[in-house]
Amino acid sequence: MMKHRLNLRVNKQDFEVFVKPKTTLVDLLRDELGLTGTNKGCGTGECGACTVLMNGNAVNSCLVLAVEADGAEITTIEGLASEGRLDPLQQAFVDEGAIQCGFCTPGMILVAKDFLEKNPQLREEDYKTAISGNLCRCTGYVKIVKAIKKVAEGE
Amino acid sequence: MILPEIEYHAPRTLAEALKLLVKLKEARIMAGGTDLLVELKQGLVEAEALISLQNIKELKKIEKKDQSLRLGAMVTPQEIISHPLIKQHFPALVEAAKSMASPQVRSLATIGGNIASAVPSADLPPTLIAAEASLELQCTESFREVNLLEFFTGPRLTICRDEELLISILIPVPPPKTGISFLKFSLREANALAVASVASRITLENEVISQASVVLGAVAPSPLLALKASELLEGKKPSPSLFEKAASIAKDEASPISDIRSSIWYRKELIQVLTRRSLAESLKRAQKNPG
Repeated sequence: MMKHRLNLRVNKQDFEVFVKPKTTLVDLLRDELGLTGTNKGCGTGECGACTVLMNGNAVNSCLVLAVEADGAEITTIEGLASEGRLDPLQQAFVDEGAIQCGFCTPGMILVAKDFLEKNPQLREEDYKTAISGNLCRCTGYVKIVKAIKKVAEGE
Repeated sequence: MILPEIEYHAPRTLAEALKLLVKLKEARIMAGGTDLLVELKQGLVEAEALISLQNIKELKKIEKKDQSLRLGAMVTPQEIISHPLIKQHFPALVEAAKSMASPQVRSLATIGGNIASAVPSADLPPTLIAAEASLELQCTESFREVNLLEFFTGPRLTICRDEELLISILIPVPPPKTGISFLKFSLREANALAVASVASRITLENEVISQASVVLGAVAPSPLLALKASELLEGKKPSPSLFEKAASIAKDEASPISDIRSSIWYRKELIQVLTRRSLAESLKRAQKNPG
């Protein structure tokens, strides 16, 4: 099958790559660009482990064809820390012990990032709504919610 | 889980897309891809090619046209949730969009896909039917506007022809003193399909219900307008006992199946409760809405 050329910007760096139509964005990120912080769980948009930011929206990268990311701006977990400093959300996850096995963590942090940017006014239940598309099989939700809340409230 | 080898086309204009539809007989139209890609991965559907609508800008517009809102087929639930015109005129549609899947899927999925897939449990159609929405279907040769209610012919079946494309959804701005609401029951509060859902609409004139509709989701092969329940309401003064009666008629009109999510009995009970609650909410909104 013919490969398609695509240009995309990942973590503020430009890439030109050639991909088959069947390549999903998560596979492009992991296998071609070596950004293995994005995890691949169910492959069907249920678990949220592969969440990345695409043009400012949190999306399941297993449900996006790489060719459809042509011209897109992508942020993965590797793109959050800058100049050796963790993003406040990353730091809060560490401080609150919101990480157990770590598999869901990149997706949780990126969906929370999107959520906090879009919702200036928050209610208690909003934090759970924010992560409703992300599964933590260690069931460590309480600390995850606590970490996101901590950042939202600017502690 | 991996995708099969497949050809990919991403036309930049509607005209180009329509031509491709005629030319590529074994192609599937891809809107958001949140259902289609999963079905392709699981081998539930086969296709030689995908025609992606992602690059067609005119399908992403939300605009006011005369006394209607016109939503392009590629508008996402996330855009529905945050659009000021939709919030103002159709709060029930915002609620239906919020009840869909997960935040991530809501940024990828589309209103056109939610309708054209014709899945019986789809979340947007009941509210859209209650709001008397119609669809614009376009092919290279012709254009037609059809009533959304008449679009569905069965589970995953519609009147849309192979070479036709659903391009936009027209929702008439409701008259004054109209309230619409949507309620859904699912096994979890988020990321779950509807076990049963109800959208209702009430228009008041001098304290009397001049127009009403009760639309049921996930309890029939397609979204179902509960005609008898709707007719009962019209011309009457709203009251809890009237709503109770309409709810029990709606329960009889529902013709659900038993499946992994629920039994027939439970779905019918749900319809009764959701209809009563939805009517009460629609009434509240109708009384508040000056138009």
